[in-house]
Amino acid sequence: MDTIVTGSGHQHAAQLPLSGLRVLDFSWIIAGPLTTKMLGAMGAEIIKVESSKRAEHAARGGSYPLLNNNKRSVTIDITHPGGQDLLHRLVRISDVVVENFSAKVLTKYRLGYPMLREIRPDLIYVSASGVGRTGPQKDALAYGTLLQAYSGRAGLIGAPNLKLEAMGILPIWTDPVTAMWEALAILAAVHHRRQTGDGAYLDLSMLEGTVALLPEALLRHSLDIGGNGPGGNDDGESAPGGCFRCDGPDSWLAIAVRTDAEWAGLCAVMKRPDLVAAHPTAASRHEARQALDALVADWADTQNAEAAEHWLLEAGVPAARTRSFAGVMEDEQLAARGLFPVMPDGRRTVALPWQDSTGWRGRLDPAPGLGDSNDYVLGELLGLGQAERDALAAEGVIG
Amino acid sequence: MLLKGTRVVEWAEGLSAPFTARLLADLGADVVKIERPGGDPLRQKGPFWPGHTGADASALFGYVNAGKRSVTLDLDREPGRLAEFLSGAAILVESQPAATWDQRNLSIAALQARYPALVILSLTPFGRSGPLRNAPATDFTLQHRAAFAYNMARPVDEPEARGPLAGADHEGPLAVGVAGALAAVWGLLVAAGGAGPHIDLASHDFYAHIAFEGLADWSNGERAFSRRRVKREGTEAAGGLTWILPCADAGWVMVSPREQHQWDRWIELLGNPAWAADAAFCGTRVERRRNWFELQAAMTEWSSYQSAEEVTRRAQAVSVACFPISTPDALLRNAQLQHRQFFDRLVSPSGMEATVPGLPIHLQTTSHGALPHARTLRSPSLEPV
Repeated sequence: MDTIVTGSGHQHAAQLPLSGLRVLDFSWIIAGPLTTKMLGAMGAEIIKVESSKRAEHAARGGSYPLLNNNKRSVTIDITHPGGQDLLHRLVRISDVVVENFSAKVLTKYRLGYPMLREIRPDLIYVSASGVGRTGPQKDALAYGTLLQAYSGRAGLIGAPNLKLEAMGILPIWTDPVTAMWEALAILAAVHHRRQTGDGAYLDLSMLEGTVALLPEALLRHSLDIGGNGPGGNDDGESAPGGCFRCDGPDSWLAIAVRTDAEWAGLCAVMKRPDLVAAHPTAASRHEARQALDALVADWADTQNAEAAEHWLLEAGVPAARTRSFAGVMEDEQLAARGLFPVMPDGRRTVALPWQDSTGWRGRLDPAPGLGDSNDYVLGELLGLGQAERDALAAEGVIG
Repeated sequence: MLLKGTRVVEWAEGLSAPFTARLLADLGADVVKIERPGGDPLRQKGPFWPGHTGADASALFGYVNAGKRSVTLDLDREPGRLAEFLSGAAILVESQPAATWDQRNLSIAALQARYPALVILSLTPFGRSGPLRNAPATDFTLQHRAAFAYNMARPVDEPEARGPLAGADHEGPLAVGVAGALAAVWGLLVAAGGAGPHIDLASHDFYAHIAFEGLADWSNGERAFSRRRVKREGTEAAGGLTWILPCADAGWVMVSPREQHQWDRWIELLGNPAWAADAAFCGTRVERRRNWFELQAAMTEWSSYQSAEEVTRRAQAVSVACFPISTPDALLRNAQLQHRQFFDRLVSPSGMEATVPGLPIHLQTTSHGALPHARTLRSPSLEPV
C-alpha cells in the first residue's frame, strides 16, 4: 500500500477513503468545523472559505487550531457578486458543500442548494442549523448553549437557577454532538453517491440531534409513568452509586455498583465484608439505596480519591476520580491511545474519536493561516492569472 | 436508502453499540442482532411498557433496537456459529469484553482472516489497547474520568457544595453510538478498497474528545483548573453574555443578545428601561459582562410577567437568540419538532404506543430517495433458543 506522510505521521492510502473528495466549507464556530476536520482526517480536501474582512475569521485563538486541522483557507468575500461567481466556479469542481449560515444569508448571497445544484447536480449539500431549515422557527437565531436549554437536557441535569449553575449549559455539548451526526450523514451520502451517482441535500437540526439522545425522559412522559429518568448524579442503574466527596479540596469519586461482584468488591475495599450478605441482591440494594449511598459517602469522606480509585478498579468496581482537563492530560490510558497528538509546531490537537488496529487516528495537519491557500485555490484550481487576481483583490472580491 | 444492501451483524449489549447498529438500520442497512439466551440485559431495564412483563417489556430496549432482526445464539455452546453468521455481512458491531472472546476461543484476527473485507467495530469502555483496556467502567464513571462531569458543574460559587455531574438521560452512551456509526461508515468506505479495518472506539476516548475546550485552555498554558466562579466572570458561556430569565407560570428562558445590534433591539423590546441608558451599567460588552447578575435581575422585571413562549416569540421576532428551557412535556408538544415530523411512534408487543425521538436529519437524494420520518417502529422480540 502507498504510504502518505503528513504532519502527524504515516498512513496508508486505504485509511483515507475520502482522498479526491473536495469539500467547500462555509461553516464556522464549532459544529461545522469539527465535521470538516474529521472529513479531512479521512483524506478529503477541505477548502475553508473565509474573509479577512471579518474579525471572527482573522482571530484564530481559542479552539480554532483544534477544530481546523486538515484544511486549506481561501479568502473570498461572499457578499460581493464577484466573490459569489468565484464560489460558483469552485462548486463546479467540488463534491460537498458544508454550511451553517442563517437562512437569509443563503438566498441573499446565492449559495442555496437549488442554485448550487444547477451548477453541480451530484453535489452533497449539507446544511446544519439550530432548529432545521423548515418549520415555524426555521429563521430563529440560535446558539449551541441556548439549544442545550431548548432541548430539555439542562432541566434533566439540574434545576434551573439564576446563576446557571450545574445545569449543563457548559460545557459545549450540542455542537460536538452535531458534528458526529453531520459527519455520519455526509459519509453515508458519499457511500450512496459512490454506489449510485446521486447527489443529496441534508438538512440537520442541532435541536433534534440533541433531543434524539434523550429517549427515556420522552418515553416516561409519553407513557405517563412518572419521573424523568437518569441525569446529573443519578445514573439510573447503580445502588449504591453516584459522585462522592473525598478528602482534599474539590475532590470527588464516581462509583457505580450494579452487580453482586461489584458490590462485594466495594465492601472489601471499604473493609465492610459484613455488608455483602446484608444486601445480597441488586433488588435489595436498590431498596436500601439511600442508606447505602450514605454509608459510601461516610467512607469516601476520609479517602484519598486517587488511592480509592486504584483499589476499587483493582477490586472490579467501576470507579473514577473526577478529573479536570489537567487530569485528563495526565491520564495514562488516554496517553497510551494517542488521543491528543503533538503537531509539528509542538502544540497538541485532538485526533479522531476512534483508532484502527494499527493505532492510526486520522491525518492531522496544522490549521491553516488566513488565506494561505489563495494561490492554490484561485491559481491552480480556478486558473486565474496573477493580473486577474490582483484586479479581484483591488475590487475587494478576494482577500 | 443510503446504506441499502449493507448487511450488519451486531453482537453487542447495552446502549452505545446497539445504538450504532440501530442508526445503521435507520440509514437503510439490514441489521441482525445476536442475543445470548435470555437476551440482551437491556431487556431487563426500564422504563417498561405499562402492564408488560418478560423479555419484550422494556420500552428503552425497544427504542435502542428498533428496526433490527434478533436471533438468539448460544455462543457458549456453539462459538462457531458467530463466524457462520458473518457470511455476507459487511459490518460486525461488537461490544464484548476481551474475556468473552477468549473464553469462547474466538478472535478478531481469525474473523478477519476468514472475511478480509469485513469491517469490525469494537465499541468498549476503554478500548482494546492501553493499560486500562480491561478495567471496569460505566458511562457514568467515564464521564467523571474524562473531565465531562467536572465541566458540567463549572463555574459554581461553592464547589464543595455543588458536586460534578454526569449528562442527561442516556445522551452520553447514545452520543458514543452516533460516533460508532460514523466510524463504521468510514470503515465501509475503507473496505471498498478490499480490506476491512478493525475499528477500536472507546467511550472514554469519546468523552475526552469532546472536552477539547479544555485542551484549548491547556494549550494556552492553563494548568490550575478550578470549578470556583471567579467573581464577576458571569456564566463563562459566550463571554458571560447569556442570561437566564424566570418567566410567568414557572417557565424559564435563556437569551443571548451578544452583539451590539442584538443588544440594541433587545433593549428596545424591553421598552427602553431607564437602567439601559446607564453606560457604566451596560454600555458595552465589558460592562454587561461585569454586571451580568444585576442585569439579569433588571431584565427579569420584564420577563416575569410573560410566559417563556411569549418571551421567546417576541425576542426572536427582533432577531435576538432566545429559547425556553424545555420540559419533556413541552418537547412532546413543540410545534417546530412536530412540523418537521421529528417524532417516531414506538409500538409495544401488545400495540401500546409511545412517542420517541426520530432522526435529526432530513435528507433527499437527487433520485428522490429520502430518510423516513414520523415512522412506526417496532423492536425485535426475543426468540427462543
